[in-house]
Amino acid sequence: MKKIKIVAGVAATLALALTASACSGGTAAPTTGTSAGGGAATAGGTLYVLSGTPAEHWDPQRTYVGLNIEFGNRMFSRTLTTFAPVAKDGESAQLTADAATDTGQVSSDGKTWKFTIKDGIKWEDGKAVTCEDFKYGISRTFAVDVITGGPNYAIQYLDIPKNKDGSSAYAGPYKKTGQDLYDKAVTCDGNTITFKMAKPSGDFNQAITMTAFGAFRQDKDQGDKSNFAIFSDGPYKLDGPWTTSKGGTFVRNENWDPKTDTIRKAYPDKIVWDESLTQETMYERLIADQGDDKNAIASDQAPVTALANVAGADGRYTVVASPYTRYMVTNFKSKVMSNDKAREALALATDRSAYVAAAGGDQIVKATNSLINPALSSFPNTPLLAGDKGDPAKAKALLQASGLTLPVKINVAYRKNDTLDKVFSGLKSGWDAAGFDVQLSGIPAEQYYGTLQSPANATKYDAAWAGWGADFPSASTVIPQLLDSRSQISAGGPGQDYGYFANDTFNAEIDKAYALTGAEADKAWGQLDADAVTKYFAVIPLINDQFVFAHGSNVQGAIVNTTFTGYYDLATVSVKH
Amino acid sequence: MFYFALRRLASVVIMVFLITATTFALFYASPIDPARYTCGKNCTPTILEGNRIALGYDQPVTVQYARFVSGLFVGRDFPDNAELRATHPEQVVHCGAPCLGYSTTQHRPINDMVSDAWPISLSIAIGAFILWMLMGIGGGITAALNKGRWPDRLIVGSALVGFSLPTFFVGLVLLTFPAIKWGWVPIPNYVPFFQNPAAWAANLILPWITLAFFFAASYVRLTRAYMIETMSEDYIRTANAKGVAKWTVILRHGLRSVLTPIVTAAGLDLGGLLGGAIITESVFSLHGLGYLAVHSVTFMDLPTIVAMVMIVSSLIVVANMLVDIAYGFIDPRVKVA
Repeated sequence: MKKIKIVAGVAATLALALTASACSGGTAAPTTGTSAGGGAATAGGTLYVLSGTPAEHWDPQRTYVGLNIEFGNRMFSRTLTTFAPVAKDGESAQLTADAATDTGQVSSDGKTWKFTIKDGIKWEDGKAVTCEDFKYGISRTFAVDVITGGPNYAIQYLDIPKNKDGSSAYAGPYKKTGQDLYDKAVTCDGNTITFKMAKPSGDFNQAITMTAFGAFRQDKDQGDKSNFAIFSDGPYKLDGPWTTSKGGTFVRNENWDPKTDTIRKAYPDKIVWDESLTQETMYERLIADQGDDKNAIASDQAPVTALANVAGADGRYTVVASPYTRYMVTNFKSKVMSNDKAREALALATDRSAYVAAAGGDQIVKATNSLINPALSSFPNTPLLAGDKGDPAKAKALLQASGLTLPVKINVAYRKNDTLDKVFSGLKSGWDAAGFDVQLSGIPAEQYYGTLQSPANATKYDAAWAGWGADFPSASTVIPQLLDSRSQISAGGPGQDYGYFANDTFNAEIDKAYALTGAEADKAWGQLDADAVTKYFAVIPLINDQFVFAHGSNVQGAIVNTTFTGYYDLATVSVKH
Repeated sequence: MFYFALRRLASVVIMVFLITATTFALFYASPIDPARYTCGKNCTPTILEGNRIALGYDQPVTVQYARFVSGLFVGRDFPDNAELRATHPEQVVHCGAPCLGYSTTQHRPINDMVSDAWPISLSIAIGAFILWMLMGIGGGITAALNKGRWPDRLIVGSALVGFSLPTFFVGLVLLTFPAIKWGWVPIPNYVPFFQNPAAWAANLILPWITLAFFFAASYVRLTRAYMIETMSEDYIRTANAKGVAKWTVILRHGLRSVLTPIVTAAGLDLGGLLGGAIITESVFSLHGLGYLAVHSVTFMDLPTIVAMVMIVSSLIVVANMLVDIAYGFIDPRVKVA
């Protein structure tokens, strides 16, 4: 009973907050829960960043976690373009020039991009940031046996041939195999860097907002030893060493010239990053708001255990849409799911209301029927096929017409945890009512995706749960990453195309969408999403969840930039002192 | 005694090698692919293979184990790649003997990580040990001397509560109220003893209390039981009859004979705790050996897992050996066979 009361209390609190700050218009549908710490920004003082997740990498080419991309970019790793700060939580951010003079010049065929680097940008030792530094930095991504863990978009986008096994013919700047190929794909002419694309790429200037496309000085490169050896071209530099599970202190980089930077306000004099905490402890401290914690912001979203108390941080917490979509894949290699009607029946019988209820209510999670997250401008907002409860009766009729014998046995995989145990118990009821005989297979989190990606399990599961968030606000980091069989499926497994969906028509449409820009691109990606969901039934989108962040009472300008990465945007944060 | 210690030391070495070999074997029997942990979100098969090479997991397990063992005696280079050593020596990290390995998640030699972590675990263990021994033995003696009366019931009852409450709960309560909400003590943040002894103690008092509350309970019951039994022995009655001072009888004659089982338990508890108080370190965000162990398991960091297993098992086995040696000093009747 007590548990029910707590959950109800959280839901009610969040509901009040959400209602009070309801916002109209836009595709991002911001759900701001509270103020961002208003008042005039104050320069100086010390900002504390409390973190419950140790950074895996600060090396720009290896950074792939949203919060590290965001904080790294705002503190010490400038990129050619970036997303500008926003005035309100959840507001849509504009793509803006950062180290480049503009957001890039693309050729008419969409296969060549040019950027000119601003004068006056310097490294922390006073040397100028050059075109060659950007070229070298990007080349490091190709050294996949040294520079591990980072995004591989450079390998995907640039016009460099692939080997038979799918690897790039260029092996990176250490082995230098295929160096001539890279030198043709990326060229420097003075301060102008030119990229040749493998295929038309309308959103390349968004991809390069990731620090993986940032500059790196060759004489500072020590391979794996550079993982936490931050060498800054932004407003802050590391003072002393970075220690995993403890953190480090950032102070002003005196060689950063604000005249070259319209993005970063860099108000605090010092930023102390403490990653020694658990997420529970950091939120207890933020809610208590004592001592230096008044000058602190959370780097991670609140854990479920802190949600019941977060209302205690009155006026200091924010609820925003997370960048993730949770969905089901139907397995085209399974006997049952290779039947079109069986896939449609499964989609029709999916009871998203059971998911929402089991995962904490509709203030924490929201039902969706789109793979693309609402924060993206290409979000198609595909209507639910049969409301949020599904239509088991209609699904049963479809299943009966499918030629399969009822009940149709299916094995459904999901990542095992307390919440998803409850969720899948609810979903199973809906599917069983439609004539399926569902066997649930909860797989431990640490083995989950590896199990789905193992070729040995290609036919074992008929359907499986998955989650994905865009790497930058383009659906090109969603649809192709999850459903383009050419880039995903190989002898080594399905990549992220866990259901082995392979459709030539769909793939051809992906190529067309890549070449488009702006509203046309949004429309094309949105259509592909809708086709995958309502025409091929390759995926069954389930829900989008929400993130909650909190900050101390002296913090001003703490605004969550959902377009960029979905964390507090350090560019505008200041502390009263 | 010398040969006894030498024999025990040899068995420790053999045992530690068997344990590390078993850890390697178990790690590779696991269905989890450690390369996936470092591969990033958009992981393709070819990039996954690159990660496997970077981690050294592309080599046969026997080769990996042989390299690990040789590193203990002659040190190692990371990555262990002759081509890279020749073309990019600046990328190679040398780890001198006894090299425990190179962490795939913290990107530095494990020896450095252990150097940072052990003072924290030692500080937590020593402080908590002193506290629980004082509480446990003191409480046990008091309870035994007041058998059946209210001090006995109070102490035994409190011991039961202390033993029943899990350390994570006691730790969280202490962290939330005295530290975060009331501000009576600092939120624990390790300060080296030689830098500021007062701050060292102030920052560790809550972890000490958390552990002492749990461990003291069993020592209260142990001391009480043995003291009650000992205090009814004939030689105690004789000492009392001879007019020996009460506390001399209790401490010199009574407690001394109770010490053997207490030292046995204390040695093993302390040995285990020196290897890291996993829950307490996690609750108070103190990154000692226990936290290191948890972190390495969570992120499938094999070199660190093996090193931690080796350190912790060594500590327990050595503590056991020291306890055996201590018997001879506590009780002169004990001789080495």
